[in-house]
Amino acid sequence: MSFNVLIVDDSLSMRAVIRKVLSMSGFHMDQCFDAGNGREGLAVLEREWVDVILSDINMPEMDGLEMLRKLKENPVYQNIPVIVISTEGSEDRVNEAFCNGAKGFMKKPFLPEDLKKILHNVLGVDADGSYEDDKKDSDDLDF
Amino acid sequence: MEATKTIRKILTTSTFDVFEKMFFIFLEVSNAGVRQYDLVTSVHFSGPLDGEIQLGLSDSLAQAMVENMLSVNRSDVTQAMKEDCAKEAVNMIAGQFVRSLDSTKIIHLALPVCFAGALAVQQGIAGPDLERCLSLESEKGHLSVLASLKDYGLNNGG
Repeated sequence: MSFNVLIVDDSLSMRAVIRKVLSMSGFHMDQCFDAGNGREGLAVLEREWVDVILSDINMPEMDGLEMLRKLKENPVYQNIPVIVISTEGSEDRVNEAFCNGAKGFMKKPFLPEDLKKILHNVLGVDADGSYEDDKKDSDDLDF
Repeated sequence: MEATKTIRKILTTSTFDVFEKMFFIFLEVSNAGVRQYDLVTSVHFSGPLDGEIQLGLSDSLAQAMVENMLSVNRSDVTQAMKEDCAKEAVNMIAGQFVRSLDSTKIIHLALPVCFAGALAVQQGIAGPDLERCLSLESEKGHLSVLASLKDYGLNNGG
């Protein structure tokens, strides 16, 4: 199984780094979309199917927390897992993100291994990039 | 005095961590003092802690940051990329800095700003602020980091 990914961050450099880490990590990525803030991120969702969102918090126009709230309100988007990647990492801020529907939280600066680990936890992607459901399917075939 | 020491230590750790993890650049403390910088970027924070982190960078260091972070060739690096990387760096340093000072409460970080060329002047690098200014260097270039904090025991000899 491959995933469509949406990266939401106002820094072009950070979006490029996250994209690079994802492609180097063995993560099975199909399409990768990006957006400069929450409003642009929601606009991408209107025209593309996305399996997972990686989002910053602190952005102009619409920040990551407001985007999370909008996603939570929408029955079509509310089940898309969101991993927050932010410089802000106080306990209260992390709790706020989870209360608004985030499934994972990663603090910047991060190592590529950190991103792999959190994707594994949130999506069930293995260290080799394979997906737990794929394994179940192949196991089924053996029987 | 103790507060200044704490701030310097946290600022050093935060800066080293960001440069090593995100830019693969290894820094050393320098005794060079105040120097000229080609880029100055800063971010304000507010809430239970109120202040600013300023970063001054030489052009060669900003160039190396982009090359390393984005894996691009020297000739493909633009001024916009240097400014974007510099802003991301100060943002991450500030985030880690305020987290280290108080990890329980929400401290709001503003969006970072960046000035280049003649506008790249670090404010407040004089008098007591010099105590909270780190001068650092690597083989790729030099930088300084300045932390300004209101009401953190700095004005009372704390």
